[in-house]
Amino acid sequence: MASTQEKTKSEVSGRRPFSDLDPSQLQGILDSAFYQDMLNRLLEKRFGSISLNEGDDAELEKKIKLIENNEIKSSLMLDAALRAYDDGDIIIRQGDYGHSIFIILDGDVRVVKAPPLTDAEFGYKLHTKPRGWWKTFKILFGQSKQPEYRNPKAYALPVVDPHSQRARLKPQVLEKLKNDQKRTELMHSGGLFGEIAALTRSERNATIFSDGASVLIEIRWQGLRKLMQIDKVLKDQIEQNYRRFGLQEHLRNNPPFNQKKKTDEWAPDSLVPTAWNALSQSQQEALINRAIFKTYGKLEWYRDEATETPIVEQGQYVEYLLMVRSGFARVSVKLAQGLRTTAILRRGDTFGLEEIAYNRHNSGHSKPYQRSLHAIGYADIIALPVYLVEELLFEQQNLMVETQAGLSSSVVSVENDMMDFLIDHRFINGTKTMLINLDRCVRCDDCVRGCASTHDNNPRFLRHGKVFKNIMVANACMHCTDAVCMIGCPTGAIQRDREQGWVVINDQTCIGCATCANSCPYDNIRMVQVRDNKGQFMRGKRDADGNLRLDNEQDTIYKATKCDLCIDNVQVSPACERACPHDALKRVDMRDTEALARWLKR
Amino acid sequence: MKQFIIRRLTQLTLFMLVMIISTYFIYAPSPGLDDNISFVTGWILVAVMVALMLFNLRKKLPFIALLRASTWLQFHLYAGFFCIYAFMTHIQFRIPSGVFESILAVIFCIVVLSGVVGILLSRVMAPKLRASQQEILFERIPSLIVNAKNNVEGLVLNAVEESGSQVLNLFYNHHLRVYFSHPTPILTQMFCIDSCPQKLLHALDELSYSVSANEQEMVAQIADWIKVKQDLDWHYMRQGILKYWLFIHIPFTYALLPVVILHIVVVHAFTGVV
Repeated sequence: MASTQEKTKSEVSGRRPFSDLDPSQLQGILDSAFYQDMLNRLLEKRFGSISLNEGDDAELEKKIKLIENNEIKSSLMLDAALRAYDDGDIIIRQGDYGHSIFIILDGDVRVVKAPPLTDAEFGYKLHTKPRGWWKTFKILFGQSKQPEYRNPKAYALPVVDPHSQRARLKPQVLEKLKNDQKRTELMHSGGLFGEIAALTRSERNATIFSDGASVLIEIRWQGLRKLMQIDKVLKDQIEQNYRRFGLQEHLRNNPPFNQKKKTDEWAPDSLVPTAWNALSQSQQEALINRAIFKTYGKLEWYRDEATETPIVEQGQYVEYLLMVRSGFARVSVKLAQGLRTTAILRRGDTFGLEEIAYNRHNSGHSKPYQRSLHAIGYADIIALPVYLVEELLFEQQNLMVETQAGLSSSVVSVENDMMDFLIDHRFINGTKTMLINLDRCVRCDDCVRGCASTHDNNPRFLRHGKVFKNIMVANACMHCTDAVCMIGCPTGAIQRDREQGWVVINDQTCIGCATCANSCPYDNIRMVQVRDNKGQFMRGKRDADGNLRLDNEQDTIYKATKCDLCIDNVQVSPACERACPHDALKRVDMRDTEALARWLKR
Repeated sequence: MKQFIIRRLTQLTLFMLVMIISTYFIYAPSPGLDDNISFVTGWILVAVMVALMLFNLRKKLPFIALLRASTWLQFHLYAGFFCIYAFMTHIQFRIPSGVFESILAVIFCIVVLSGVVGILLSRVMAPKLRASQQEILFERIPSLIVNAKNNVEGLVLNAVEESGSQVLNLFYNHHLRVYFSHPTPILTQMFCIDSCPQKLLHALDELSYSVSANEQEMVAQIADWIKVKQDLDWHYMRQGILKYWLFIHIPFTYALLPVVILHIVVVHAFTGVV
């Protein structure tokens, strides 16, 4: 997070809560001269004296014009909006999908450090527990006869602002947190946060709430990138923060640095350090400081191999170990006059490690890169210098290289046309994509019945979808690497499970706003109207405190539903795949192209 | 392909081993066993049948970790073939005599034959459905047929309004109303009886000579909808067969159960073996 600045007296204190205003009144306030002046002053202060990046003359000229014509603000506001928060409103939640940064325009916010907020402090259960044997056994006798039945007594409902639909901390929790100076840290006007998650499109690493009323600028990640292109100071500041907080986490948790090497075969696994932990602090800092960040490709993209941005070409000298920070990249080998795709890389994957390992042990016969790497759309790459990797991983630790799926030389690969189909439709995003082999599928719907049995007689996918040759990609949640459905959930109901990494919706917490369903580019999330045990639609409305009150005069209650990989019954996960008698259905991780190819050729 | 061959060879080898071992134990000279060979083979048969029936139970319990359904199906198939062998051994490769034995044998044969036909259908029909290049959900076919019917009726009414002629109306009432009212029966599809699409299209083609130019356009559209209905019928028949063959296999399996129990009771009651 950026360092805090001297507190200015908040102009919003003493005014009516924002939640008392209707949307047009609120917008009027945010558009007023008061806040526009404040915004102008902030932008002037942050971006007024810009030291420009080195670049082409044409680019430099364009940037100078942007500043001289005061176009920064208008350019920025295409990707930004002012947001108003009342005391206790949750701005970002730990674990939420990061897609934007915030700059505090007016007022204060509080960052919750360690320990993170518990379910009780949030006021609702953020996480569902796995179903035990007894509850599983009860399914035999207790499956609901009504579709989408819900027990209204089982809900632990979050407090949600009726206008903004933002979750808010309960007063006693809020008071406790404000008084706990060790656990929370105050940030004042001018402060910036959320940049690491926005840059890497990963999870937020802290919960932040409004301390008193506040007004913030929320800039989505596309706008952040544009700003970083024109403002070197901001770029350096964010990169510095990323090196200090984000890069360390990335290196620690991803191959090859998360590999363990046992020197003592009797040592328990928990005591064996990872390659990262085995490095000294100075060595870790050396890696962090010497890492180079590069971005390839375009943010809006359509697959076109002729214009996919090359990152490295087959045959090039091995200078760096490349790690994908975000986006996707295609690994391919030359085949006659063309290229054959052997793997798709995404966040956390590496490229070049095998060549580095080989060259380390065969110094007289160095290999160049054995494959090409191209950005699909865009890819953020972390490049680690080879000499450091050799010294710290191979010389010092003698690490054995575990071949990453899709990168070994004797790889069973997916046909190019199938790969193109998967890329065109962005199915490469999936970690649990449902594929159905139509040459084996007898359309018996045992998979749908299996799913329904595990979800109280409600199936969570549709046995229908895009078809290519004999493979159908069914409408079932793919649990994407880049789960855009998680953007903007007001209560944090849709989140990534911490143990399994699957994207799940907490039914109790979901308020049925359909943000996730509208965001999913694959239409894999369905909104359903829930019923009581008599089959009647449940109806209700939120009161002024944000609590849901059942009332037959009100609108029906909706919930978002999707495949959750049977997360409350992991032993049978996924029930659909296990229920298919003909091995026609498979949940596939698109990263593992070898396994995909083997299954396609089964 | 290689994986498939290895898998099949492994399974067949294991199956043959089981067959050889069981044949040895059944036919090897053994003083106590020789007199009771039918009892031994009978109980083996019952045990295998019970194991086969458990597959249906497993399908109803997908929320309990009881191995994959595909593993169960493989076991079901090979156990089924073994069951045929056990049955033939049990009846000592002779034709059953007596009413009760014959009923038992007939029900058993129906179950076995329906099972064999079912597995063959699943292997043959699935690629054919895929080759049609249309994926239609079975449960949606009736509503799609209703949609086709509404479109055709709309075209006919338009034709009547525009031209004032009743030719298309009469043709629809005489030939197409029944055709679009429900999925075409299997026999009609197979043997082109009565209102099969080929005859309808031919009749429509003949009709086009006696209507105006505007109506000919509508006739062409009606022909398209007949082809749509034909595709829907094609899918309905094949997907229906894939679903409904179990309506023979499973009920006869349940019918076999009480007959087998009765057989066991009778055998033990009247042969002096406890």
